Amino acid sequence: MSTVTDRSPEVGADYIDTLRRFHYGEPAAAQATRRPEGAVLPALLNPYRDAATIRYRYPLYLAPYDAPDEAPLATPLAQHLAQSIATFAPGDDEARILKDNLPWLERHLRNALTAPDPVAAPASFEAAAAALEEHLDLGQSNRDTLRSDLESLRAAIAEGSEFLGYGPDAPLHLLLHAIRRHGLPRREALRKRIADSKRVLESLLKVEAARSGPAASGAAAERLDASLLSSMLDKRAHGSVAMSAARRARIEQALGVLQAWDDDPVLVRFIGKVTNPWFGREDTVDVIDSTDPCAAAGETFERDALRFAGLFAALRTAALEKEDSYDPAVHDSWFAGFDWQSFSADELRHVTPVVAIVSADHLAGDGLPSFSRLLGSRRPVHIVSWIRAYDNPAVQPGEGPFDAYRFELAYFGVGHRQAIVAQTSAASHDDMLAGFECALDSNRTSLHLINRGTQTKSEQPILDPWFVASAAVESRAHPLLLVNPDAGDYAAERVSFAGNPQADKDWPVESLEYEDPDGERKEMSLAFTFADYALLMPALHEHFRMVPKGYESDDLVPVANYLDSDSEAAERLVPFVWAIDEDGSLVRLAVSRALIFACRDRLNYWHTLQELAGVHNFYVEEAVERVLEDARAAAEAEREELLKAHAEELDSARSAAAGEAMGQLVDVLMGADLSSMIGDSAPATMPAAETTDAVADDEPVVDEAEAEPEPEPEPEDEELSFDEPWLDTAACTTCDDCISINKMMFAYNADKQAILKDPRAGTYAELVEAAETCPAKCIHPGKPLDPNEPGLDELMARAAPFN
Amino acid sequence: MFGLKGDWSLEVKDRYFTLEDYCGAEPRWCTGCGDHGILAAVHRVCRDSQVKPEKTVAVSGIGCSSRLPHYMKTYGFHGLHGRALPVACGIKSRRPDLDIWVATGDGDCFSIGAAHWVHAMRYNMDLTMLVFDNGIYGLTKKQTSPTTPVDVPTNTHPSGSLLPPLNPLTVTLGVTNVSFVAQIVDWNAQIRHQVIQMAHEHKGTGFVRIIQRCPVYVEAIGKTLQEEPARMQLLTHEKGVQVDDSVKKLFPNHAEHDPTDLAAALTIAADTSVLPLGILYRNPDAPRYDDISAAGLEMSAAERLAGMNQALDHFAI
Repeated sequence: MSTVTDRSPEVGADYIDTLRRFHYGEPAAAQATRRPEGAVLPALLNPYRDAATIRYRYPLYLAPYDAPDEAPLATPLAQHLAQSIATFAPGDDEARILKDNLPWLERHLRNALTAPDPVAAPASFEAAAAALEEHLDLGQSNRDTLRSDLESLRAAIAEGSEFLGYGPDAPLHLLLHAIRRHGLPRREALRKRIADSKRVLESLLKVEAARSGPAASGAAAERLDASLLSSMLDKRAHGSVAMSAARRARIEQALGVLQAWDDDPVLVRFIGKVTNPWFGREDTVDVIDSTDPCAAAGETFERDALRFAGLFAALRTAALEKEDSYDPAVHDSWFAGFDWQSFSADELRHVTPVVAIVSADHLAGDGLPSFSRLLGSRRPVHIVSWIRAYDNPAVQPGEGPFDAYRFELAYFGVGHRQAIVAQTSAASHDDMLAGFECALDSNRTSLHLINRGTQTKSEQPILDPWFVASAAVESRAHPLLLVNPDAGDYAAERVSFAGNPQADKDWPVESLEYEDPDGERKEMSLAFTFADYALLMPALHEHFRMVPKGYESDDLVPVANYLDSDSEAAERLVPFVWAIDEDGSLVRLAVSRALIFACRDRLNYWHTLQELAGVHNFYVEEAVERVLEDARAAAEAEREELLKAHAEELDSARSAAAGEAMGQLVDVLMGADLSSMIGDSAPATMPAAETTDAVADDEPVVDEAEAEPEPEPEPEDEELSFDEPWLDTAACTTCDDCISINKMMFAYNADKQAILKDPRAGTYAELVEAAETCPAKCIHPGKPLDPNEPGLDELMARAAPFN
Repeated sequence: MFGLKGDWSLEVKDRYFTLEDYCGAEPRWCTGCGDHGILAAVHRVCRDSQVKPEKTVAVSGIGCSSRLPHYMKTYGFHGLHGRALPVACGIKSRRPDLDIWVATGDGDCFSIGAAHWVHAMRYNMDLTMLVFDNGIYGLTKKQTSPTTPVDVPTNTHPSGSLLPPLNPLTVTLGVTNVSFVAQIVDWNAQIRHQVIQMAHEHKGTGFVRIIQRCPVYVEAIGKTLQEEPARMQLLTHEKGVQVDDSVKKLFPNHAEHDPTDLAAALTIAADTSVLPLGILYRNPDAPRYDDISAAGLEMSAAERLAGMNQALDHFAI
């Protein structure tokens, strides 16, 4: 709980002028005011200061590559453990010790992941389980229970699975994981297809070799035309025809290609700067250094595709030859120009994926031409770039990140129309994996712009990287976006905006609880803006100045309100963000105009993306408003019409009624006996009402036989009875009664409540006695298990009330 | 924020305690005695709240109930008859960091310990006070206690108790600054556990009267209630006891009662035609004497001496 600790300002009332001058960038005012010092955090992020005590989406449990298709690629460890426990211990009281200590186990596993690379999950879990047992140091009985539960949980950690902690290389590890999951089955299928095709071609050659030689030789052969003789035979009795030399050569050539095919273990080629040696050691990864990764990736793909073109041509030839449907007139020319553009979608997916790993600065700088060419090339090459969400990738040396409008790489990618563009965050692994899988299932160029929360130019952020990356998404500094042209031609079909918090608002709004100087708990709503995110970067603290505690001015307004105000009002206002210092005090930080400029820029981009994704689409909203307006006008016109008609009818009815009434009055007056209006004019009295009793007495007697039958009584709750004995453990009061009757039959569980340990460990008589004695009536003896026990009739009668 | 769910906290404790860590000697109460269940509930509440055994003290007076400290693997004080509360208050005033359970009975608390009971309720120190009320002096073999019902024969009143029993609820609710009053029966595990847990979590004296069966001397008291559940009234409320339908079904007579309403609590308590079960009254804001008595505990001996000298200097001539 943060507090506002100070009431008394340490500066004069005109301090707002100094802050205003700082806001406008006056160096003297910047000197005269105080920068935030130490670990000052945006107020909404204060609860996340100590990442070690917070469960977030990492570490991840990576399912093995051969896991069933429906198994997710990666699951947060906490979720995987909890789901696994629920399968063997669904009740609250089951596996209690393990459930109570799951956070310890989880934290131990997380702390054990010191390297940024995945580790084998089974071994890691076993070590953590042993550490938990040692840590708890339980008595024998509890130790046995815990061990058994840990073994059950261990069974849910599949062989070949891995744990992955959060780190700078988590995205590449997840990409590799997705490639393996997709690539290994494809590679296996290709291997099988090659083997099958080889067999087909070898069989064709074998049959040809085994074919009997010419029926005649020597001089006879010169006079005897075997083919002509064959043609004279019945059509069903063709003789064997020798394979043409061209066909044999074609088959031998295709077989040669298939036999020479090098079954390369490499599943992916990473091109660019990959500093982690782990990837270099993996035989499924080929790391290629390059200064222009986009260009190199295109060339590498071409080389690979050429190699695969030979293979696929051979495979296709084999298929045609198997059916004997190779037509040289058609196929020779087609195969002559066979390259990757002739590949089927499935064949393209077999080509070793190529991933260019490029810095955002390079993409927006020197690498821009090759980047753009690759995006438009149709080559199914993937581009991965690390995005600094607070920075402008197009910034030149000596420039500040807010000196110009930000170069939005995602929008640049969308501008190429036919590439998959995924702007994702490493913190949100499922969104990031969705982007990878979308690209791997497609045959388009893909661009993955990933923020990791780890990369800065100079000083590290104050918060744990996972939270920094998440804050980038929250603050619209790095909105999540997936554009998949395979989904259709329209933005509504292509664009996914999933994962953005409160996507319909300008900024997400959260509530903040705090304590005022009087110790009273209060709450306020705060928008989390780009300025709040910028506060996480010590390098940007130059854009903030402390507002002295207790200082009040009407001109100080939160950034979100400032951005909403009109330009005239904004001139005198000074925007600020709420923050919390290391002492837990709530403070305000005035914000520079340059940072406000960046906020407006980010907001503008956010609005653009909203419109692209169909959130607050101007045209739609305008059309809806127009339709509503038309409907309202039509309804109003109809109402007016009805009111008018009603008024007319009313007038007409009134005149008719008035005329009629006047006529009747005249009739009455003309024909009335006015004498009755004088003297004894009291109306005749009504006969006295009969007493209620009399009525009751006179009520007809209904014959019982004719009376309506009494409604059937509501059936009571259905009585359930069971043949098997059972004990309602939750209702047990731990009175010891049943235990004292038979300790083999009854026992206590971990909550010291009775369970029916073994109903055969005693007599039915004991079971019935226990049921009768039980104060909670939670023992239900059922039917006797031993039909030969004496006195069963009496015992069953005694047991009946408890079943 | 960040899409983090309610279970985002990954706080872990250095140590973990199982039921075993709170279970002391083998209980020697009679078979079928309601005390077994109360003890099990105390063990479970300790385990659920993970209080450190070495930071827990069970204090009792004299009687069957007061054997409880022997059955706890924590610190304990089996005191003098009626004096559980003064000892507990003394411990709390010097060691406010300790978690204190008081086990007492209808004879121990409502008779010889009555004066301590009243004042302890007013002092409202942070204790969990369980009164095991079986309506009889059991340990001394069947003498009339303050809560023995009329006409129940005992060794001191062979022809039956003469006077109407004391109503501990109205007495307790009538004490100034009382902060938590509840009543339960030992034979309903769910309500028993929930109420004792709430009394334990309550900051102040959590008074829980537990109607407890003594199958040896006054079996009829518990048996009658068990066989006629309509004689009890279950009080439920969002700020009090909340039970599922299976438990509600056991009590045909149940009502909503807001435990912050003292006047309503007194009305319910005064109606002896039914036995109310649940939280009658709860006020977490009542002042606690241990907050006051703990002042200065952190001072060193030298600081205290200096303070005392400063105070005495006022009287120097």
